[in-house]
Amino acid sequence: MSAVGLDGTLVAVDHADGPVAVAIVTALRAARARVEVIGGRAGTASEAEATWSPVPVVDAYVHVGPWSRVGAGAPLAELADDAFAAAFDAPVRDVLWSLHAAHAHLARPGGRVVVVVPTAAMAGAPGFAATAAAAEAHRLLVKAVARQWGEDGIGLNVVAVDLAVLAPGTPDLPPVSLSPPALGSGAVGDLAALGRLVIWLVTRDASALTGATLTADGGIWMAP
Amino acid sequence: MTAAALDGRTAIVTGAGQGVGEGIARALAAVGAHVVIAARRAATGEPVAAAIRARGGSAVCVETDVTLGPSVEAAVADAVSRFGGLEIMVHNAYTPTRAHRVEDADETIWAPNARTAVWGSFFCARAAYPHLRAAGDRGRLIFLSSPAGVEGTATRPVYSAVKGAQRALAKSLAKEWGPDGITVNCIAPVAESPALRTAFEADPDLRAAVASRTALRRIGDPEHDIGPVAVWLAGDGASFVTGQTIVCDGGSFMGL
Repeated sequence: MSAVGLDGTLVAVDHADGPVAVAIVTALRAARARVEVIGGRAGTASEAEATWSPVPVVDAYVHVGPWSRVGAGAPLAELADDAFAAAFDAPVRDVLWSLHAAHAHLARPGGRVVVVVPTAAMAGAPGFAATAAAAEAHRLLVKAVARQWGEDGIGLNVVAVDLAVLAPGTPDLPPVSLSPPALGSGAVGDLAALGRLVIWLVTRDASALTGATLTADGGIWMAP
Repeated sequence: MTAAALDGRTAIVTGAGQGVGEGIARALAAVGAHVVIAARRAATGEPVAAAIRARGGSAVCVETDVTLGPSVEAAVADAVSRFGGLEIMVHNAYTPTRAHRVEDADETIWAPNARTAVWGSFFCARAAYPHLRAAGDRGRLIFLSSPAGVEGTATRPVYSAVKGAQRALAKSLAKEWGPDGITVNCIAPVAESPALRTAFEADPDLRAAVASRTALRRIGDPEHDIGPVAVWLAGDGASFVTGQTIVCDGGSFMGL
């Protein structure tokens, strides 16, 4: 199959500093998309609006989230308030205010949004409970906003990736499942395949899909 | 279940001054638990405690603000001091916010949702953990989530997000605390609550619309429909159930 061409498609990508975001940007550019890398964590609505202010109307927006900086885990009962705020509040505020600001900059109809989360959202993650909670908050925000923006012709979906791929080198990451990856361990972190999936999600071929979660972890997490 | 199913065990129920929390508190007390009505205002919590005592149950009201860690810690310390331990922690308290679109959301939407649902869950879990661990395989942590935290709702995206977050917290804690014998679960109810009643008053057609979406064609009663689910999760019969969300909505959402 030939590579999908995204000639002229304008895609905004934020948090493009982790390996997954870098791979997505690389794949989008290889598919001849115009990629607008926007940056900075949005702690407030006004920060997000300032980030988006110079961005023109885009065909798609990819939000990877700050998962590459997840940091070391700790039991929830031992977490201090500031650690919980960093692990939960910061990423959820970031995606909330980013979507809040992005709405005015998305093509209507036809705009596409992809949000990348760790599969810990669905599986839970001992030692990383606040991160798992933040990730599931992302997923539910996407579902709810997909219901709202459907009338604008905008679709939003989630791609779920193993946390070890999003944050390589993080110590003591718990297994998502006791089952091995169905496609083999090499498929877990296949960033080229992940890039192709994101490309498909921002094309018109995926226009019937919204509010969905596609798990791209080589076949570890298979629920429901 | 016998009337003594939770005899002598101690439960804290946050947001028990009304609605689903009140119903759960009444149901737990009816099967023998000492119940701490952890309400933000004694004006709402004390009448519930008094009503339980009038029925022969054991209940006290402790003013608790779940958005403040020290307040939750004080409520836990109070419960342990009065009753000698804590086996069951139920976090139900939630401050409802207006319907919103995500592009119109602001801090008045975010803060109450995050602070009551997620930070409240964190504070309850952190404060209760040493006592739940001491209770061994009787230790129970229950969060009140929502079907909106499973399937998303078009009217309140931030609510969906925080209710989903509670479910992931429960799964993670179920794995963290499983070796201690503690179970951690969520209940996702659709039941009569002050917030729902307010919405019904504002929209006279809403009650019938909500009920019509359920297989059972009705909205749940906090004490008689949701309370027994909490009693089951809190009791010995659910000792092998953990990390789950029990959707208790009359058959509106059937996702799996």
